[in-house]
Amino acid sequence: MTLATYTATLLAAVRAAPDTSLDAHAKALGASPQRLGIYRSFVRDHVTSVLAKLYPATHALLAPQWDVVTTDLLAAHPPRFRDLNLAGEPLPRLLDARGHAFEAALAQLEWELFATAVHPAVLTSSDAPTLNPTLTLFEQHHPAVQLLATHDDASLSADTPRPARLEVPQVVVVFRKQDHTVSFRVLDPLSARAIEALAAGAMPDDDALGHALALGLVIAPAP
Amino acid sequence: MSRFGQDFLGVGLGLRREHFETLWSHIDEQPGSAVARRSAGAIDFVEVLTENALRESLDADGQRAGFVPFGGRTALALDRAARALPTVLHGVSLSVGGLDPLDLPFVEATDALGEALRARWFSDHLCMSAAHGIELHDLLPLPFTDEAVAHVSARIRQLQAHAKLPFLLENPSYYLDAWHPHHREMDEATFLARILEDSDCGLLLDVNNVYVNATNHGYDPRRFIDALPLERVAQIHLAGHLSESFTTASGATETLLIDTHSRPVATPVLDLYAHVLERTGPVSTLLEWDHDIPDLDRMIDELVPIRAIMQRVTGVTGVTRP
Repeated sequence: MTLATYTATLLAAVRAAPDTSLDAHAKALGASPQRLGIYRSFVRDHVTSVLAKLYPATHALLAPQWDVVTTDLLAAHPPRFRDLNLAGEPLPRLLDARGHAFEAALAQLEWELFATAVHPAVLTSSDAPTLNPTLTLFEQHHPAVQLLATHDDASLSADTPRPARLEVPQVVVVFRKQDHTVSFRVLDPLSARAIEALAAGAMPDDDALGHALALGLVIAPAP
Repeated sequence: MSRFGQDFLGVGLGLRREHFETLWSHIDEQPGSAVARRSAGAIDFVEVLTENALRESLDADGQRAGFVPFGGRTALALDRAARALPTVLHGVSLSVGGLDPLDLPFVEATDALGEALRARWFSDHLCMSAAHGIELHDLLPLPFTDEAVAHVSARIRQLQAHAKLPFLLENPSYYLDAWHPHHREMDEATFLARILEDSDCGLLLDVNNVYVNATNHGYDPRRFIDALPLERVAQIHLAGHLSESFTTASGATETLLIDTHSRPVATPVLDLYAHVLERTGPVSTLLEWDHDIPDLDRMIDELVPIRAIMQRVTGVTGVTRP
């Protein structure tokens, strides 16, 4: 058996679904199915454990179906990146495609919380007020923000009532503060005015600027 | 003191997110100070997991656009640690034995990270961790064949020609048993030694992996150690393991040691560490702990027996940093 054949056989074994037999792969490799199964478990467990960390609230809501969801995710989106976290990036889209609309919105919010926490930007002051470079805006049709703001992960379960779809979508803002904590909220009119002005290269009015500075959406100039 | 051209850095710990808030009370943050700390509480150097410091940035189509550092708390902690202590990089995704093309942009990004952190070297495992474009996020074993020796040696030579940082190869743990003779043309020590010699590469010797493999595959760990080109050992890893039982197809129970990095270093592993140091002299030694990570005080307590062995066997009592 060449290295290429060996690699293909091993890859097929470790990517086989959890409840399928590894006898044929093991026979080809001359190894026991049990020991080959150790690697299948390792490969799956590394991804599932990081998914649970990335999406604690979504995991809680979908607990009974979580194994099926993660199996589907791994089958549809094999990890292609060194950053293990990125294996979880397609989850919101997969949930939406499976009809879990609220959970998809919640997963999108949880993904943005992670992405913002590790955003490479350094929050430094300059001569003038500047828009927080970690800031992300996105539109959601489900009140995932309100659920996450009012529940800790431990209080969520499959029985948690899902809020109704919003008649008018809301804009969500996620950003990292200078103390490295990540904040999320529905965009309010004053914040929207400040962001819009600074993004256009203009100075916001005093009310909007003061509000955005207090929240951390805008980085204050150096004293 | 140096090993295979690399400085002796003392005894260190892997830098983990769980210790970002508490590390600073255990290290001297005055750059340029001459440090000779041998008491409990000392950390001589830190090892940074490359994949915990670098991540892919994606373009609008979800394709890799490049690599960026993890920001926020991670960036702050890495920078602060690197200002205070010598740093080395350790990777888990280079796929040194894989058949996909060597990821040279990742090597370049690792070099840039190493430059930013003033890292002394980087390391990764003798394994494959990706295949056919799929990242497996695990260390899959290679067959002990002439073809694999030639393939891996050529990859490491290519890697070393491209990288600015020195590269060390680590011996991994592996669990596949009784491989078909087509996959086992030589024993593990010969396989590793030939690759090290053919690629002219330094060795990161994981002593726990030697012990785990020797137990699981039924060979003498000391004879394994003695068969290696020990002059190439530039760093040592120590870690804990677990014993787990499995039911075989015949219904029998089989017990294996699993390299979990979740426990204190076992006494037989420390004994084997002493056996290595008797043959090498002082080698930079790092305690790995990646699961069920205890608080830093407990971690530092675990360094005490390691230092004691280093001192008893080699007589080395301190590291002086410039």
